[in-house]
Amino acid sequence: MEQAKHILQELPCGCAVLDISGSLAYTNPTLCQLLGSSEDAVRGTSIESILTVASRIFYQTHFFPLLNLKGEVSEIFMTLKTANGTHVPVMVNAKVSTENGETVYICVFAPVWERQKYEEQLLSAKKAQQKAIEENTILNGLKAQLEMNQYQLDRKISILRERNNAYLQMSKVFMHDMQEPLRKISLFLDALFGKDRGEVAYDDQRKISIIRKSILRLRHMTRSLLDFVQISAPEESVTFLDPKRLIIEAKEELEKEASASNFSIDIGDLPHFEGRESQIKRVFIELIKNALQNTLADRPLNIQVTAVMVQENVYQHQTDKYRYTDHIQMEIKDNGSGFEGQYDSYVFGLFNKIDARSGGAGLGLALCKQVISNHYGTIKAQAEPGKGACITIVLPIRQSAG
Amino acid sequence: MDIYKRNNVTILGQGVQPMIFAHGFGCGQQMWRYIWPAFEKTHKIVLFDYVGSGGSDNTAYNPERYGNLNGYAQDVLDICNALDLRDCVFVGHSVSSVIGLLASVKEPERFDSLVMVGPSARYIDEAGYFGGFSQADIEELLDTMDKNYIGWANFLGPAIMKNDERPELAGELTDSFCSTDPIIARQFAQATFLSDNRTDLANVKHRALILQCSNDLIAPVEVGEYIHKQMPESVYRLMQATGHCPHLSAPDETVRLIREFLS
Repeated sequence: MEQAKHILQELPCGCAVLDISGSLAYTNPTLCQLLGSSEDAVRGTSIESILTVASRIFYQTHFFPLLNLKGEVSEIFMTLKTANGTHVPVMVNAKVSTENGETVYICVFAPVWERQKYEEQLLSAKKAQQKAIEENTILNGLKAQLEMNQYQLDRKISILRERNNAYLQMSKVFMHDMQEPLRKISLFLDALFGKDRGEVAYDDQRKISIIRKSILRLRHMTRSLLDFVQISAPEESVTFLDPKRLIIEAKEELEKEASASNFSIDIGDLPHFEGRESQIKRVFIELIKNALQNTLADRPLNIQVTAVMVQENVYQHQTDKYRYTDHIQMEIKDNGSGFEGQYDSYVFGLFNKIDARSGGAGLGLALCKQVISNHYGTIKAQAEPGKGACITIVLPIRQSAG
Repeated sequence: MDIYKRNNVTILGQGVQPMIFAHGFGCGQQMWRYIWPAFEKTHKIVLFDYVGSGGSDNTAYNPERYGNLNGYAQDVLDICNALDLRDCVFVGHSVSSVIGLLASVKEPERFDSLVMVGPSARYIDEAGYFGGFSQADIEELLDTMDKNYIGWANFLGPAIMKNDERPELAGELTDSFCSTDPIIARQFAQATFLSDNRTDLANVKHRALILQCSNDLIAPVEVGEYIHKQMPESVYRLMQATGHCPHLSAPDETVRLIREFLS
């Protein structure tokens, strides 16, 4: 036993016993010597007090968890901090043990002055090599990716051009080609059954009125579609927008219309963001309109608009590409009739309506989605029947890729 | 994409309300082994490893994504989506407290409450803010990590779990034990210790519990108090436990405080 104690005293490496809380219960003379301190001075202090800050973090995040889970750790590199502040690089081995029924950690510290130098050289050589390999791999990968992207981009441009042409033609169709037959139907209907045509049977009157209503509806739909096609004409330039001002303006415009009854909007602090002013304002108009069409009879409409800044990936379609930038995440919440959860994405479809009786054409939210997509954003709806709906819009603060 | 495999998702427990346990920088889901059993009767326990940590699928690691804590938050949201989780109790250790916070702001409906164990919103000091570290400290940490990679294979080799009370866990944990790729671990350290999420704190809408250890070097008391101040609705508990890993060193106290908060 005496011999064992003697060996411990003379051991050519530092040795410490930690209790469960990480306090130094025992330090051998070699460790005290390494630390330039005495056993009395260090006993009872935390192991962290003899480590550099970085080694403390490593101790907490790696060393301590591993020691606990594994029961032992070996060859861990750490740096001791001596009483006068100098650093001693050490290799640490440790194991969990018990002493009088209490868990203790036994650690040995071997200074690695010389080894450390080799390791540093090894590491810097390895790093340089790693960097060269990585750069080369990255460059080759990028080259292949660039080529692939260019190829895909070119194909997408052809498709988009084609679609854009079709869109322009469609707007011409809605503007003129479809209006004309409608006008004619209406005209000749009047000619056939106009006021000066004498008595018309009751049943025929009913049929005529249905035809007239259908004509109106068709007119309304073609006008809406024209609107939908024209909204994202990209001529408008991007400016820095104050969403609060746009919402207030949207509200005022709606209040001028007779259909807009009394309602209130609470607007929180909203960060400014880049966008095309008339389009974004249109989104707010459509969202408020939508809320107005889905109010409950027993409570006046209240809309709450709040926003937070979040970071989102700017790449929406390319998998494996990530760049997180600042986005505004805006919530437009109303206290209206809401809808069942399964319609969350349905409501953004063209002419899709939850409530067939409501006044709108089923175009507003589709239009919003188009505008938001054109601004590289996302829009989603969540609602509960009877409790109201919440539209969440996420838009990048900057439109350009800077 | 198989999220179960990618994030090494483990589902346990007999309860309905999901309770997600998210490990911090340095290890994997095993860190929670003393904690989750206390909630298995009342909750659906969801354990996982972030891509690049523990037993995750390292081939899914993308340095662009995981260079930012929002990339890690996306892991949490991906899991919530794959498992269709709602109203989760999210228990995050260290940097995971902030990762869970970011996720909860993006998809609030997925979360019920946040338990933040040893959180910090910013590790590096700056004028008017005490984070506990200087830039030089963090650089030395990255250097220390580099030096430990020389003996990495030995350091992170498969280990047999000693768990006499729950022998059923032994096999499952053997392989997935804290195996972290050195390059990934270094990037995780960078994403963690260089992040600044102070402005995100005010965006939290959920109930939150801050578990602050006494004498925590990584997240000092001042940092926990700062977070509490920025999140006025949060519940702040200063623990008797010391260090940065109360879930390992003081599981009883940790469980008691989480239970108190949830009841």
